[in-house]
Amino acid sequence: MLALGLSAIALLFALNLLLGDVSIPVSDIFTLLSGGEVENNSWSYIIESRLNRSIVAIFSGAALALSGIILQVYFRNPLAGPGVLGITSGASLGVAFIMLGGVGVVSFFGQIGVIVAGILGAVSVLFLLLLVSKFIHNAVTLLVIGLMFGYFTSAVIDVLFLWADLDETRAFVIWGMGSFEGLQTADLLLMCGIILLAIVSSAFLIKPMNALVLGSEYASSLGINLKVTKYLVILHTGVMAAIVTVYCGPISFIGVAVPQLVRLIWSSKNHFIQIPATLILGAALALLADLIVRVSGNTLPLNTVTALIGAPIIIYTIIKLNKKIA
Amino acid sequence: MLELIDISISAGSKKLFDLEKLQLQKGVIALVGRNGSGKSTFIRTLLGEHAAYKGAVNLNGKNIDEITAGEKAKLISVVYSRPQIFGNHRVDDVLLLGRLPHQNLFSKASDEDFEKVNQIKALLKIDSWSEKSFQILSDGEKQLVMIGRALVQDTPVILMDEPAAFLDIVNRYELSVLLKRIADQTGKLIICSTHQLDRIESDCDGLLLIAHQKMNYYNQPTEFLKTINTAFGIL
Repeated sequence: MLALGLSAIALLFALNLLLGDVSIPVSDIFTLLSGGEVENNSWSYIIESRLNRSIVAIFSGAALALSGIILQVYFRNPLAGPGVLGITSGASLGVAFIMLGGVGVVSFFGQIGVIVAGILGAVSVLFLLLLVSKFIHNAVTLLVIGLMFGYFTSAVIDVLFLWADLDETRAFVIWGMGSFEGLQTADLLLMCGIILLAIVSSAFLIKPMNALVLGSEYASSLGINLKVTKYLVILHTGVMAAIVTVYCGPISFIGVAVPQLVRLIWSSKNHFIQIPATLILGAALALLADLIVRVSGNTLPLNTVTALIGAPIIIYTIIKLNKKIA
Repeated sequence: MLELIDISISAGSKKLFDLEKLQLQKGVIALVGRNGSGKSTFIRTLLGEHAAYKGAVNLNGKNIDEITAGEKAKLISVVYSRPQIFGNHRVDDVLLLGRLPHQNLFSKASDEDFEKVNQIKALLKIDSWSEKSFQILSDGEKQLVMIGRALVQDTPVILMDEPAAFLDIVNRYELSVLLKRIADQTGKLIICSTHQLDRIESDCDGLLLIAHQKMNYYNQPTEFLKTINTAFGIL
């Protein structure tokens, strides 16, 4: 099953290099990837951009899906996802401050400013959550507070629109539609490095997640430290959601749909299997979504495609899982 | 095995009860008391999860607060009233969760883990349930699996917080008989809070009674009902 998923990723990755506005012969793609020269030199830039875009899609999809499964198990709710804790909205707020902050703010601070502000926004919500979670031990209460953070920050963004001119509003709205495109190699390395770190350290969540399906009381009796687990959950999901949101926009549905699909497909309930499965399926789904965006000639926004794919998956798996239950 | 000395338990500013001295080795011990008298708090104290108490709780001669969470999970397992699972687990998956304290970082199940699961399924006579989805089981069957999960955890002490709360009369009867059989066959100590007294004299070896802010221990089964009725003034 995992092998099948990996081959799907390889196939989609290849298609992502192959397809696009400019058609480049397969042989030339291979020549370029192996460092050779082809007659049209501008193609190398196109290939580099397609390559970067595919890598961003893979890591973003994996990170969002992993955040999703961690949050769904922690909150014991199949509708939980990276958006629910308000971390995505926090990142959006940071980005909005720069992009909508007034004439020339973007050009003054540049792209770096947007990224730093986004991370600051996400991290602020993260710290607020950590602070609140010191006094709140109930997962559902924490979920509700996260949701309220989300509503609140969205409202503040709406207020910011009042000061924005047409161009700024347009730029922010486009960012909000989501895209894996346009990351420079340095940004890409930073993003992938952080996500990779989060993925590796999520190994410490395998046992807590296995135990948490029984509820926190039972998990505690199985030797799980609930306090440490809570911090691990917030840090992992927060950092991953923040970094993806800042670079690619608030991408919906992947984080909610993938964990459910994994639950339906894979019979092993050990998260030692479920986490890799989630990463692979998340990456594959993000690549597929991006492929559709590109086949449409970049006219369809990424979030439209993820919703078109994600929502039916969620409906299907919920019906299917309930059938097994009822 | 389990030893309590000069215990005084409170919740918030409210004092729940005192207990002078108690030593328990094995058998089914019924924990009886009125709503809010501190049965659940007592269970959480034994688990080391309730900090508001004075005195000493010792397990195998070691203070409960000095035992690490991982070690404790190999000594005490729990069954709560409401069985619940997030996910489409099979009965075997749920039972296997009991092996978690014995597993490494990656939760890899060993041959011994599967062996233990099979052994407990045989003990509870639920061999045929392995592939069944936990969610489609009845409340009684689910609770039986949760008791199996606690047994799979392989601890000398099992604490049960009103395990029969959502069970019908037949299931309550069967649970009561089963606990007695498990305690007799395995030599475990089972402390079980309950409001159901009809089987208490036949199926329990000891009685922990909380009344008038005192916890007392009684070990003459034939006297249990009389003791309870006298304590609460109901005849």
